[in-house]
Amino acid sequence: MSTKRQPSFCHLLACLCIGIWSAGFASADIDPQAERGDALFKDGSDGLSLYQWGIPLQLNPGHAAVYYGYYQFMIDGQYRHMVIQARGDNYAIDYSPFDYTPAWPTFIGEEPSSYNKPGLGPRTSCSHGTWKPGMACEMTPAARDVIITEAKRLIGVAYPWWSIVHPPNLWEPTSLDPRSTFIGTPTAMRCDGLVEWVYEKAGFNTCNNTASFDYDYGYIRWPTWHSADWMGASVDPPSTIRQENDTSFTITASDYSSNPTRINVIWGDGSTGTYLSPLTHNKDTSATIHYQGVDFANNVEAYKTYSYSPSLQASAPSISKHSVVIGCACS
Amino acid sequence: MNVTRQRIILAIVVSGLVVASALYWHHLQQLARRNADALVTPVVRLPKVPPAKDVVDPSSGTSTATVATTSISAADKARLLVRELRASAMKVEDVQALCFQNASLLEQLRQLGADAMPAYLQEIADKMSPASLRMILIETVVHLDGRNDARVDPILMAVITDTTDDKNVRMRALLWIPETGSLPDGAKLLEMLPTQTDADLEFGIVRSLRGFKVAGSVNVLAGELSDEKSHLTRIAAYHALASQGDEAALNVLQKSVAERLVNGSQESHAQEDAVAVHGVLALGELPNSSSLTLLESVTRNPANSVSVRSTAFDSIAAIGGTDAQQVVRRALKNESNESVLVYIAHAVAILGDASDAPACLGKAATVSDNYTRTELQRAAHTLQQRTE
Repeated sequence: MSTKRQPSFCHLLACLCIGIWSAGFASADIDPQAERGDALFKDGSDGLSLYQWGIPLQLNPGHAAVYYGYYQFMIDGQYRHMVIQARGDNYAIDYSPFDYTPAWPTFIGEEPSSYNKPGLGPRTSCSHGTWKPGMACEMTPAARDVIITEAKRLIGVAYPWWSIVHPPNLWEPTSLDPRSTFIGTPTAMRCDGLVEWVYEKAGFNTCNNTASFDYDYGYIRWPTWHSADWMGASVDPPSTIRQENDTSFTITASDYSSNPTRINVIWGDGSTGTYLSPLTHNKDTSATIHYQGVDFANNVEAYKTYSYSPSLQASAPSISKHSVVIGCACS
Repeated sequence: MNVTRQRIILAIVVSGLVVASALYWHHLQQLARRNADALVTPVVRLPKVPPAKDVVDPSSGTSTATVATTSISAADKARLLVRELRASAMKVEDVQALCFQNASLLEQLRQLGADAMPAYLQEIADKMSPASLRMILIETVVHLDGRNDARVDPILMAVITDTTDDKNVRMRALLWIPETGSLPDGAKLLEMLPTQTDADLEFGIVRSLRGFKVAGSVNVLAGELSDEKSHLTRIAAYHALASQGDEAALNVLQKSVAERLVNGSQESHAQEDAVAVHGVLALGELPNSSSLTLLESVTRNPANSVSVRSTAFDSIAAIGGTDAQQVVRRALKNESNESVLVYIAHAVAILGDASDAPACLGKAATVSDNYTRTELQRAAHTLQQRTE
């Protein structure tokens, strides 16, 4: 007599619920840990780790991109956190969601130090004096707009496999200078080349266009890790604080540091709002709210307190670096 | 009593054996677990690619050290190295992995220079060779001597026109074919375009046409601006049209941009916004003062995204001339968007003269964004230096 159990209705219901929950999580419940125009970096990850016969090679090339914002993703129609990035397995620089797991690579997940796991890498950081003029974390909205505009201009540019190997040029032709008034774009560009190009367009001094990768018999190294280079930016640990699109929500933020918390929101009706803490702001809207970004740059985290109305969480959210302060009333 | 003692001793011995067995079993389990872990996450150290004298011929399995250390020609050495690369590519599909894993091998090939060209071309032409290797080699030959070596162009065009060939390889050949400088290729690509049904290849062809001036291409490229086409194809079509450089192309560009932006361009429609940005950019790549009216209207329409409006000022600066100068002067006076003002500052710095410096400084005093203020002040400084 067979004892094999058939899946019950409860099993199916549970699977359905998990599926729905997972889908919801993928689209909305993610703190991007980044603002519009931020440079995002990540260490080697599942998507980027390279395999031979199913065995991961000890290659760790990492990835870089520019955070674009929370917009409707053209493939699945969902609102997703988007980056503009150059990817070798794509035909061109383009928008890509980074909270959409089928699309490689994601910047959301575990710590970048966890090798072989997807992780949010360092973002533009306060800690690098090389990002002159001004620290990257102090970027104003106008500077961020320049970065996004320049990144959009690179959409359609190819990825140069040739530049993966020596000499590791970040874009081609290498003679092009982002600081010049040249209006065109390179023929091909690597992921870190894109980031460097747009930041230098915005006036930052980063590194020259040959100073990123180093390798030695197949081992990829970051020669200037934690020194004056792109890849030395600090790591923001992901948080689980919820953000949601819904019909009504309240933002409450109090910040007693010298630099107020800035909250940028694009409302469903297309209007925008920039709110500085301390604040309590209520707005009802029947349309989708586009999350744009929350700027905690230069704020002392310990001085911030947040609350949600009505609360989405049983307990007060833990305040982590670059936490998000948007809550909602789920209907 | 003795019996009891014997039983006790026996019990102790048996217990000891049981415990020892258990410990041994546990030890075996741990060993097995470690082995299993090692299988899951082994630390694989890539072997150093040996120098040329130790190169192993994968086809024969024999060392070629003797050959390499004697009078082997560079061409033969290239063939051996490419063969080794091919053996590696058969195991690693990922192009990046192939590059990283064989960095030293690729470096040896690079040092062979043009002598390796026949080996490269032979491998590219071989459809049985792994796509990852062929993609790398396509870029290699183009960078090596693509413009001067007459053998490169026919091989790449053969790949492009072979509809049974690997799509990724064809895309790579399409990307680099303009570098060969062969003008007839443009006409051939244009001929392929209307019948192309694969959206990626269509984009690849249009992107390639940016590198060619082809008679009669404007009408075909105008068709690639249709909303039915992918955003990448439309973006590529704008630049390809600008590259044609004639009046017909300019008319198509102007008409298309005007129609596309009749209702503005919204940031939230990311792809469409990018297409609009590139349309405006293309007007700067094909600079003509007849575009100024359109570009000024683009800059003044608040329904357009910041990126579109900003890019228009770069195109205005690229067009240049006194009319363009007047456009940016008006904008400097009237514009209130502090992000767009950054690009106005750049345009004024290019087109203006010393008399514009006070206006830049005056505007800088009114803005709240530090970055914008700095850019306006920098523009003023540039203009002041210009007179001095």
